[in-house]
Amino acid sequence: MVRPKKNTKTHDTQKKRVYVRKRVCRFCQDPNIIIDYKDPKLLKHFITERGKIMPRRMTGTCAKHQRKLQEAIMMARHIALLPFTTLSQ
Amino acid sequence: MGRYENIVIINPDCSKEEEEELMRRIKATMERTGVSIIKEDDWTVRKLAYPIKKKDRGHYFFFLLDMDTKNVSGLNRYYRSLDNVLRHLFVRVSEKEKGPEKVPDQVVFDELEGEFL
Repeated sequence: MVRPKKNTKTHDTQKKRVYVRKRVCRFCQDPNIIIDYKDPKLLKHFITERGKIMPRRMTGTCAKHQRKLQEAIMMARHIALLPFTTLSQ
Repeated sequence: MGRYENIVIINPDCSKEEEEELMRRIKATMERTGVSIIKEDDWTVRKLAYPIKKKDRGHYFFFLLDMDTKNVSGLNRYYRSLDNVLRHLFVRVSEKEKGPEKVPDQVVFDELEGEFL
């Protein structure tokens, strides 16, 4: 009885999806945008559908402003201006 | 004397005079402990991003205070003792901070769109 050839697991070399990184940081470019925890409209652009903070590689912000952004988002979440998580379908 | 921003979220269900009475007591304790109120805003009742103590809405108040650091723990304890206060936050800010001109507008979360590439 011919043993069926075990199909070798075709490991698809899933190309590591490299996010195209925006070149410039919005806050360095336009200095009069203030990162403020009281302003959810600005912070909203930096959190995902689920309410998570977007990584730098997707938004292109520099490290300094990303730290400020993260702190502001966490404070905004504490006073319920931003959600911790949203249940998106 | 450091400058602090203080945000207080008050239970929306309590009646008008309860609220006024609570605010008067908060301001009275502030004066008593030597805290000077520079700016005070009423952000009215807003929808919370998530329920706090089973409440979906909260009455936001904003204070810009000038006080030294040891008052912070006193006020913190005081806020925790009030059960009508759902949440409060102190943030130390620079001296020349004037506080927000306008009330932060309500952000609706069902159509939350992040910046997608």
